[in-house]
Amino acid sequence: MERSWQRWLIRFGVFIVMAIICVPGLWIVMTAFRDNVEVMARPPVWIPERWTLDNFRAILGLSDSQQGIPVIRYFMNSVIISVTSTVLAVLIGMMGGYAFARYRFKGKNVAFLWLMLSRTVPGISLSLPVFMIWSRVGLIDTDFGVILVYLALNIPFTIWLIDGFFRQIPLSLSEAAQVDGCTRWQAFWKIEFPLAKSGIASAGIFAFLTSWNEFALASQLTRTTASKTLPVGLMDFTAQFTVDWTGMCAMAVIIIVPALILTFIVQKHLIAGLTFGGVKG
Amino acid sequence: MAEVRLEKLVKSYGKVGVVHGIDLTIAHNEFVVLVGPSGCGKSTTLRMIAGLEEISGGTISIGDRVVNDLAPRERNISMVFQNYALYPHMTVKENLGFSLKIAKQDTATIEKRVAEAAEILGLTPLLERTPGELSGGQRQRVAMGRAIVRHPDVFLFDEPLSNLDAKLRGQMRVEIKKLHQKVKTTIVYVTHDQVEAMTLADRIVIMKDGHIEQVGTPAEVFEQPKNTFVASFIGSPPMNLLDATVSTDAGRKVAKLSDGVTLALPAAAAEKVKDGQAVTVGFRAEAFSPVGYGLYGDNEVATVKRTIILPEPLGTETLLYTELGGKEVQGKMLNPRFVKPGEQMTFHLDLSRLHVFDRASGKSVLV
Repeated sequence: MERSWQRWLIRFGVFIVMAIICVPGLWIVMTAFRDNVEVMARPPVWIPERWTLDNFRAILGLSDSQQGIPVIRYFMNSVIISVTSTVLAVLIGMMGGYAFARYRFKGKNVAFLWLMLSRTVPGISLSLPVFMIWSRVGLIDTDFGVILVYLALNIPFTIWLIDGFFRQIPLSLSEAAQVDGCTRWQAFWKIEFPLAKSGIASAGIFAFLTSWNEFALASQLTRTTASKTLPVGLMDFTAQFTVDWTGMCAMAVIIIVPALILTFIVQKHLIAGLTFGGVKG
Repeated sequence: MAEVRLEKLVKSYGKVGVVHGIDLTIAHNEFVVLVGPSGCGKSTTLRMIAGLEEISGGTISIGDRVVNDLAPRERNISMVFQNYALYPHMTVKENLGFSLKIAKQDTATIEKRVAEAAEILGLTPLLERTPGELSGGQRQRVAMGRAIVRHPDVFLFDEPLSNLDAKLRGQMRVEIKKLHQKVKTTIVYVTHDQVEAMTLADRIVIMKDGHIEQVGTPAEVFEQPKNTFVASFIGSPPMNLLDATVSTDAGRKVAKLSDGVTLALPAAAAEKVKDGQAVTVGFRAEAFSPVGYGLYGDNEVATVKRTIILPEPLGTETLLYTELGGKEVQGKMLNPRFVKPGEQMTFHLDLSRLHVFDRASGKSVLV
């Protein structure tokens, strides 16, 4: 039996860890709703004295005091880039993962190893070479250019994750379906896909969050409203001598909320997925 | 008519041969069991019939169609897998009806056939459950149900009982036998368990290393094994096999064991052997019993006095481990009394039930 003081100690430890993780996030959210004056106050004002939506009005260009930032435009760019790259990464991940899990072919292990090795290269180290190539072929400042880079980042990961899920599904299920009258294609869609769904959802959310939050590469490859994503847009709040912290935080909230909502929606799958839960014949 | 015919069937993975030219004809509505130790190619053969494994050589025909290049779904077969392979995300009902749904049968037909199959297998109360909520035996029945709703030409069973505990296995064995009586269909059944093979089969096919060793009814393979492999594989306990040399004694051919015991050979075998030939003689435990505890009738017997190494009481009979010809052998005591290890007993060996194999080839001298 745990003693009660042990339990309290554990709770306290958990609290400290959670505080370290959560406080910056909470700080961002609170700053988004506070007055500009409070931001720089010493000693800091922890809880805003007056909650305001002025910051959101300002960045959306709804107030007269300040020129707006093309948030809607950035948001649309982010959505287009993240959704497209996620959908493609999941589709290709499904095909690749299935192939690695189910088929025997020459060079399979080497190919898989290379895919994994590509993950060991820090993305940022690729930014200069990618920038140079993209500028030659005219992909700088295009959605397509960013999508392509994100695909390259995400595909090895989605293949690896989805491969693991297909491996969990006994081969005999697909065989049973084929004996039951399915083509291999039907067996995949009717049996294996539904069973790997949670894994595919997990891969999807990871790929989406990677694309949605990525800053380093996007900041190199995007230039204007034509392709700038939300995280890159945050830099619009820094001027030569000042940083508009409240505006930046308000925009950060706009970035966080969709990701949070999406994560909640697929949470059920995510948990089932991450624990590689119950596929039993 | 769904006769299954295998002709010169070969399977190899690269250079490694798994099945080396099998010829076998399975008659319409016949229950054939492929049995053998693991790695003998029995499952591979079954999977080739199912179309789940490519054929490296030879032909397979079902009915009058050569099915070599047909996909599993085009062969009108159904299969019960070792791990059941039930679809975990579907209810029992959906599992049973899946093949019919794929075949685009109308809902009424599906309902009717599913209800029929569920009735036969006693699954009616379980239709709304998912496989995860079923016990091993119930899953097994669902797997069989899924096979029978389709009214296939051929049923294939791939070690369907090996995941069940001993008691359940016994029950399911009976159910499968009953099922075959109700739903007359050609069945090919793979197992490594010779008891299953003996109890279920119309004919047994004993395989080893990708070859067929013997094909016959359970009685044939039990009574007239063609070689020492079949003799030792079929029957429990396995047949006692002892090295011996043939000689002639008082005008009769006898086999002399390494410990000097001589056994007069049955007439049929005696004709086929020469003096000095190295042979292996075999007898089953039930042909070797203590005096007064066996069934000999008027058969000629050899009498030996032996020390019991270990008695193994099984209720209606006791297995007696003793030593003969320099090897441990097993005898059987019917309606047994209590026996202590170390006890001396006089045994009768029924000579009419002696099997004689050529030692070099391992083949029965009668073949």
